[in-house]
Amino acid sequence: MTAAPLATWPPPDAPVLNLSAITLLRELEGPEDPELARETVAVFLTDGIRRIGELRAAVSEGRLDAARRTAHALKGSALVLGTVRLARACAGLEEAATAGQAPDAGAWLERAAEEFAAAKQALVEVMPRALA
Amino acid sequence: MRDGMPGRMKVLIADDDGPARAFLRAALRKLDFDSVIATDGRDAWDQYRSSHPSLVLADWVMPELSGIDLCRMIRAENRSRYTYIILITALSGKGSYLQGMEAGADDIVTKPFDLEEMAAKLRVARRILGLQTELKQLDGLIPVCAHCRRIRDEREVWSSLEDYVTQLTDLRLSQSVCPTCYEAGSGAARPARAAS
Repeated sequence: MTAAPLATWPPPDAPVLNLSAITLLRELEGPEDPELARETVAVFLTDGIRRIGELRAAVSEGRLDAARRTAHALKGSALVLGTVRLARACAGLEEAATAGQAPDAGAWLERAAEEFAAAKQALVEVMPRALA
Repeated sequence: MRDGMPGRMKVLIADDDGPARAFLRAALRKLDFDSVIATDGRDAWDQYRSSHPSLVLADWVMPELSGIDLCRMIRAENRSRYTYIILITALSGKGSYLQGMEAGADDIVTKPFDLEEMAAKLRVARRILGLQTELKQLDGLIPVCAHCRRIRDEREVWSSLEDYVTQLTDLRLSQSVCPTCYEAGSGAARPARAAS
């Protein structure tokens, strides 16, 4: 699969959180999904904490294929939630892992961990009950 | 449609990512589709076989079985009813688009999701599946002579049911007598045959 070059997507100055993703989730709420946005953010945060842990273990043990798969999964989640800078860091980690570049993978992992922390803070600000 | 509620098309959502599944399920509900959920590729294949969705919305990268593999398996089954397949990718280039089409996908959507784009693609899917159904129904209209039961083919030639089926397929009709004709034959048909 050919990924778009990192240089063009997402832009380096992308926001921590693109609020339109959260707005869209809220618009989709209805009688059968009254808390869609909050629940989706909660799943993202729980999965994200686990995935960052898995990425740390995989990169430190040199299991780059596992790191590539987890980075791809976290990237997909991040795109759905509009946490664009996290998605970019995950894309970088995915590319580095695919290329077998362990040092680059380590650097992108640190970026991903920082961006996840920033994304978490931004999400909790707009959705205080997400961690409840 | 072949699905439960009339007019509501059934869509199989196959994605290993929780937030993506939550978004897609809610979006499909809003767009008036029924959905069934699979959490990996193998689960998707099982759900496809048991729930017969009209449309499959599958993530490209999934554990157990990728969206591309799922696509190939669905196409290899060659069901009489067409299944419309949309693959989901995160960051797509032209290479992946072509690879998806070659595997049998009808369309691709990319994350982040856009509700309007999704609605447009699903509308196209509904239209194409509707045309497929109409074509099947037209195919099903075979002109038959009300008197001798001969069938007219596309060359305007009238032939027996046996010849018609043999021309169109590899099937050969085996000769037999149904219970009703057997009973009837014991009355009118046998004397006629005996007289000749």
